[in-house]
Amino acid sequence: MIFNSLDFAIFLPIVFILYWFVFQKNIRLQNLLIVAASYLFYGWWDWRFLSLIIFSSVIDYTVGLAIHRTTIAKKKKLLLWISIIVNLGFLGFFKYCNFFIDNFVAAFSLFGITLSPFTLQIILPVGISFYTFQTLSYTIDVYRNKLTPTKDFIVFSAFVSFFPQLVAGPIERATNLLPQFGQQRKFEYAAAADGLRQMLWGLVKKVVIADTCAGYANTIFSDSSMYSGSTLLIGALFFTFQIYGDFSGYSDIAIGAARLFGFRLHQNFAYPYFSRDIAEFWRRWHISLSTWFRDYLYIPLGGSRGGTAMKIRNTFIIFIVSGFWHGANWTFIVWGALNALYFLPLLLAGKNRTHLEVVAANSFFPSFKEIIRMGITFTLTILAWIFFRAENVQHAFAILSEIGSPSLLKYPEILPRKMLLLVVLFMGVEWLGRRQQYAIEAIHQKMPAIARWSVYLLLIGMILYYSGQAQQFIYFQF
Amino acid sequence: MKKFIRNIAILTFLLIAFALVLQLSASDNSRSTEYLAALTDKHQRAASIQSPRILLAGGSNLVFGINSQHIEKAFGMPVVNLGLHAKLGLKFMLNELRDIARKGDIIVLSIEHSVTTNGNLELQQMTAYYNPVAYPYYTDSKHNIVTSLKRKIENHHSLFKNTVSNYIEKVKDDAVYTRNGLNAYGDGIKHLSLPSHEVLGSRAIIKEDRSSEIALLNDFYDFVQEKKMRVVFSYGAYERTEFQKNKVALQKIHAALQSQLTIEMVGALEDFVYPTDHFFDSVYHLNKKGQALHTQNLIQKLKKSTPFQHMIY
Repeated sequence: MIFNSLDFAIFLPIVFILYWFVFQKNIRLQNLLIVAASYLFYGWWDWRFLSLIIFSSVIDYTVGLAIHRTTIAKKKKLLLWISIIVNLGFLGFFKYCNFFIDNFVAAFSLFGITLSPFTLQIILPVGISFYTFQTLSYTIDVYRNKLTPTKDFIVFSAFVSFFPQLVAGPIERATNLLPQFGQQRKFEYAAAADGLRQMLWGLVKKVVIADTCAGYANTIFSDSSMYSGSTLLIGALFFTFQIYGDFSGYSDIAIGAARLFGFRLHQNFAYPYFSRDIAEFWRRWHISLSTWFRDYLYIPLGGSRGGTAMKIRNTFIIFIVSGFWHGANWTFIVWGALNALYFLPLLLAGKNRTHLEVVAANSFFPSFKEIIRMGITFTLTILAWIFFRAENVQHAFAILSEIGSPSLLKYPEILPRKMLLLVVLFMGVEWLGRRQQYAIEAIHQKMPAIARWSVYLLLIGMILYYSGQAQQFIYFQF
Repeated sequence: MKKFIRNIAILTFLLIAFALVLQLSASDNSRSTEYLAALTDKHQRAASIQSPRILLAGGSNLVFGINSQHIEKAFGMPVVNLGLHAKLGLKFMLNELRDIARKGDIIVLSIEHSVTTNGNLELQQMTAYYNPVAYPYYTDSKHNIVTSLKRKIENHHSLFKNTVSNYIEKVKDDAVYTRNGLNAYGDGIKHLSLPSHEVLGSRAIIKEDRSSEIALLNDFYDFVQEKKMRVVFSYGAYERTEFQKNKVALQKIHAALQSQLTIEMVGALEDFVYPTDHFFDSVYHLNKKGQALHTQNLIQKLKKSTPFQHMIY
């Protein structure tokens, strides 16, 4: 089931009513309802893969308790490795098996050895990269004594499968989400209204911005050889907004939906396109994944504490692994490596934590210097997204070489002015709301009721107008 | 909680009221100049002519690629060009034919490579909005209350979108993609005097697996046999560079059609592939030069096919 579908529009109110009107007095029943609703939500796509989530839940629940019970360090480590191998094993099989087979065959062919290639018909289970990382963080935190494991299997299952963030995050830490399932939830008007507002803004991002930009980006990328550099740059620009609208939109809907049920999830995107350098961009883009890699990979590897060589190695590892997490294709690996190259000069110069506050924190307009910095960062980001979107690495280089050619100065073959205007308006609203969790968070404080309700109606009207057949979210494939 | 429920109810009421006002203020559907409303004219023409008739069925490559009058003259049989939009899907097109074809008719299926079994639901809903007769062409007979309700909501959604579109983008009544841009046969004529676009649209990767479309076509063949009609299949007009791009997939599709399709095929895989300068605005829509060539080409190929070969011209 996807958020921008009629199915979800029917599903959500039913679960909401049962949750607050039928089971409101019994926390265990509320949790059980969340598990049942989450399994239905996931099974709507393909019920067979529910078994993976259930299996993963059973393993990590058992391992978590066993690690906590034992005092023998070696046994603790062995149990942790069981959890890691099972979770990453599933991920590796479903996501990367064919990639490795193909590359193995290709590597042998370089030496003149022809292997008869075989690939498996593997369906990638939706959201596997997300819930795998979420459950892994649980066992690792238990192993590190940062968390006491839960004895309640229903609570643990609800934590693993919580439907708002099950298939595309935010990847929640057990330390934040798990205790919330053990606490009595009370309906709060302000929180629920805030949740609905955030869902509304998320749907605008997804349906109005991402899906509309996708139409242009797909047209241009699928026939890139037909277009001049200027059109290809427009295609890359549209993809830049498509992926932001798509993914941050999903996160907003997830966080908003969770608030409707009394849960608080972490902010996952903090206006990354207003970043003044790449380090800031990575503190603002897909925050739950970046911090996951920071805490469970970068820091255990030594982080930035060692010498220059170690810093370079660790930076490349974390960015390349992050790229590979997005998909089994060399394009994602190159995208990750390119971001590492962007990031390294800042790290080595000790300037990777220069911009911690939001841009123009105390003024309406940014300074000239900030505009230049934002412009450079945004341009670098667009160029990196070309690798992310391209069919393969050669395709990305062909696009980049055309963008670097004199045809960049040609009048573009495709120039959708209305859409560009819409994107500019959207970014304007994002700029106005950059100090909040999401752009229209403070609307109820700043606007009188009539104006506010008119804005809500306008946004709903825009969603209805721009929505067609429900489009999948890009990040489902990761 | 009361305040929350009350506010949700007010918002829902306002939305429904707003949508109702919009739809009530919309113009009369049956007289709409929208392109999709042309289906009504095509059906009226079909109903006004006695069988045997030549029914051309497919997507918009027929609208922007055929001179039906030339075909009528060539075979001495009245022609109805039923082509409208490839994204209506094969099921829709064949159900439409089941509805209007009669004994003695010759059906020429000119199907674009991009046509899929189910097509685009939103487009089908829009078509049914202007032409209620089209509703059963895309809905399943196995309906339960939930799917019926979903369909109704989706229909209203389409109507809402269309009404807003009409307010935002006023299209000239005689533009290319309007009902008035088509002649009495159902052929597009307004584009013939216009220069071709610099960049052609509708480029796409063609999917290889056509088993579901072939099964549908074979079912349709049984229906045609039973009703004493005749049918032939041909590819739609297609642009050369796009053909080259998808050549491997198209060759596989062609092989599958040759071995599995029970309907007689007219022409070979590349017979309806033309150079870029023969096209108007998409890789399926021909300009004046392309239309003339494609019509003659199709006539020549049809003359060799079983339903037409014993005719005296």
